[in-house]
Amino acid sequence: MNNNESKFQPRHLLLIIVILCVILIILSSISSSVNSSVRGVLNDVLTPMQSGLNRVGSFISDEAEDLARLRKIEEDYKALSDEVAYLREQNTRYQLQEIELARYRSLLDMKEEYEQYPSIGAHVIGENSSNWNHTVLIDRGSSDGIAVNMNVIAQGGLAGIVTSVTANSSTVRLITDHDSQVGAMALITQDSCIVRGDLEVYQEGRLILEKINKDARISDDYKIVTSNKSSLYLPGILIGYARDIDTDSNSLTKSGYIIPVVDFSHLDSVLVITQLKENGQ
Amino acid sequence: MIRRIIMYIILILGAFMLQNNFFAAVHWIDITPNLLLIVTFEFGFLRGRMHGMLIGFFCGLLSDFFFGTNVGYYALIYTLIGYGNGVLGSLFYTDFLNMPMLLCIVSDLLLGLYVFITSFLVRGAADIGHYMLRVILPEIVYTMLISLLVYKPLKALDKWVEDRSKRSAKEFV
Repeated sequence: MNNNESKFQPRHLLLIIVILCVILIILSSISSSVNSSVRGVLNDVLTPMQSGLNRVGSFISDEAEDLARLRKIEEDYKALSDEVAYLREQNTRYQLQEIELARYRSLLDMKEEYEQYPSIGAHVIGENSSNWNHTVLIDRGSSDGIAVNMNVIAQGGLAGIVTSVTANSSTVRLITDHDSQVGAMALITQDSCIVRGDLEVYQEGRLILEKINKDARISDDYKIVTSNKSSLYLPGILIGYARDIDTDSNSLTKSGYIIPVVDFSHLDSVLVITQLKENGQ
Repeated sequence: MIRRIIMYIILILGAFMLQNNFFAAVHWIDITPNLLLIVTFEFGFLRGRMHGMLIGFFCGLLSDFFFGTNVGYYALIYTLIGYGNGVLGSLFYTDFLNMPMLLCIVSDLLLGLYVFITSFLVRGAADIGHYMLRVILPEIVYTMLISLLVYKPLKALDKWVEDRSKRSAKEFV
């Protein structure tokens, strides 16, 4: 392959590879099929091994976590039993509020309807470890009916969107990725906003909630769901709860944070909604 | 040569899967060490620019195929890192243990800055201090620790494959 270095200078090959890379970068940014077509071949070979290793890793991780958890559980138990008494009292009050809420909802004719979407379960078998991007690999692909832009939910909330698909696996870009932007709205007031992933605030377990109209009524603990206006995301999927909403320096918009319902560090199994948003294209 | 290529393939695939499938599944590891980078800079350093460059290219390509949005994005930087380490390897004495540590820091720093500049800075995330402290530095520390652990074994493996290749070459020719 490369044992006659005297004739062929390494720097020539370097030049060739660099040019090749640049061409590939340009090609793949124009059409996404370049990526998925080459990936398909590699993927068929590697997927079984990947899911095997992933299972070993999960097993070790779970076992160790269980041990650490056990001690904590005992402490927590005492504290929790006190709390139960207190909560029971509060619960009664909330039940009254819930009836009130249901009345408001029926007035707004809004339902949480994502449970009606057809979906398919999948396991997370790989995670992008570059520390920069939040994408995961799941063990379902086009042969299971998965297509690009399908929404992925987990633990009852929006987790991400399928960005590329091969026969037996797909890549999901999580909403915590810095490339991710989701058109969203407050469930009760239907005021629209954008949920954006950001590496910096993700470390505090938050996402950015921005582009809220200054007159919008969104305040802390409001439920944020995907918007009807979003071009890729199906409407009414729960994303999380608003937090620390403040008026921006331009005085035209408000922004703040959202606490996602999905625990992204324990993403083991997900549901892929096999219905695509019809956006009239 | 065949032996060497097989060794490279096993090392690259092993590092890739360990990093992306095994480590990723262990929840308490927040920042994963960059094993592919270790393979790239170590063999670049030990075996010269040609090996470093090609290993880097395939390592980068593998990352691109599975997780990248643009094919060639990581391949480009890994290739350059492999080549650069090859150049440095020919200039310095290879048995000095601090050298690979230094290389690891420089390589990982380059990689971090490359990703930051090309995909974060252009988007207006100008707070380099935060990314430096929370992403780039921890990755460098972890990668360096692992590279210290695997440097000698990898070098021994390299030598073993080299000896075997020489012996069998003598037998057959």
